Amino acid sequence: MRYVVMECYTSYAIVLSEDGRFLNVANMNYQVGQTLNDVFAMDISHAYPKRGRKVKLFAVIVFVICLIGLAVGVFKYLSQPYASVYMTINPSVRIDVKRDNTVDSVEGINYDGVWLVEDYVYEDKHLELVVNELIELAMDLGYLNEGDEVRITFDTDDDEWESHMEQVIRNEIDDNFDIEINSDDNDDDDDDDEEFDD
Amino acid sequence: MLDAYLIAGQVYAAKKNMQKADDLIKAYIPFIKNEASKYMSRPCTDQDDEFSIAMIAFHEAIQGYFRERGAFLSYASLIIRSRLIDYSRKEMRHQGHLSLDDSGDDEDNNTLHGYLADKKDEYTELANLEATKQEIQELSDVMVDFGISLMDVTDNSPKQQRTLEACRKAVQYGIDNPAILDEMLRTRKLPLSKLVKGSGVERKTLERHRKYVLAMLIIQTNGYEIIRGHLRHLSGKKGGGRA
Repeated sequence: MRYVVMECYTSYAIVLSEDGRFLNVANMNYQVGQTLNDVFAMDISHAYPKRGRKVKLFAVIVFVICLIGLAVGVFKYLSQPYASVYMTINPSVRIDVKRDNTVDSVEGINYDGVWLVEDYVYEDKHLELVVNELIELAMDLGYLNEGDEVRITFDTDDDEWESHMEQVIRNEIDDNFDIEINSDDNDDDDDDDEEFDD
Repeated sequence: MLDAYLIAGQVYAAKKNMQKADDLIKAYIPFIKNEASKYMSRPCTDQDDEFSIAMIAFHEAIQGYFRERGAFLSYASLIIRSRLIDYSRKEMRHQGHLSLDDSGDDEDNNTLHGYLADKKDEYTELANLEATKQEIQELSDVMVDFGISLMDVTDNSPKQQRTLEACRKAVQYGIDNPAILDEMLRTRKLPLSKLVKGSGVERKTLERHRKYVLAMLIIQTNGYEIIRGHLRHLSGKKGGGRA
């Protein structure tokens, strides 16, 4: 494979490979315009150390659903955000969902989350499609690999909605990715209350 | 403790700002050299490849760091060592091969390349280098008009082979349909809908790699023969692209 040096910086250079990839590589005193036969590419995924021999990056997907604004008029009722979905794979993302399960907004809530969703287009898409696409994007960017384990947790007052969406999202992920899914019930608060009932 | 907190702040700022990343790397060159020297068991100089590898590893550490990982410099030290090991393994595969830049036992320090090349080739090589440099500069300037930079395009470049092939399919459709390139040059925007419709590539793939596809289509316009010649997988029209 041959590469042309396109730009040079202190620690790296940008090269264009003959198969059309732009890469950041170690700058070994290169000049712009120089042709190379071998490069040492920057590897961001390497900066996320794997645990043990098996590729078992434990990704936690946490969904927290909040009911918002149910007492306003029918039109506003339907178009207001109905729930917030927090998806964390290391990047943490909040997804606001309308009553019809279309996504109202997507926001990164940690640094990697902001980076993950930059330029991501979510308008008029359903929740399960957005989850699918964000998982694919996370895989493209090296945050998640095939065979990794994902934990999904729902926190909502609407148990029926939760059960339904958990199954929809699980089917969506199973159909498209080789990822293990674990889901936990997050009813610890309720259990604590029962303990003190007379 | 305060130092560690300050460095973490600088690292977080450098993650998104290339100038700050560059400044941080320059500020920590003594640290980087020291880490490389420890690995090499001898003082590391600017000319050593290990120095370049250690610098890019430091940059990777900036991108991959978050506070839960502990002190940044300890983390960076691990990444530098890990990447130097990767580089050593890679170089082991080339053991036994002679480098054309090696002077070996030659008393006058003439390189093998010096014995093989003749003066005419040297001048041609230099002329080619200058021409390529100029073409790349022109490309960068035009990309600025489109609101993108080489850095943007690199970040936006597809990582997976299947995504690369999908983008290549869209670019090839642009090459085969000059009206697409005309519209792009006129509007200074990617004609996304037409590319999606004509190439059959999924909209979300082209949206996600918009800047990359735009850059590859700009390369298909007039004036970038050297860069086009370098790209072996795309079959452009003979005589160059559109003006």
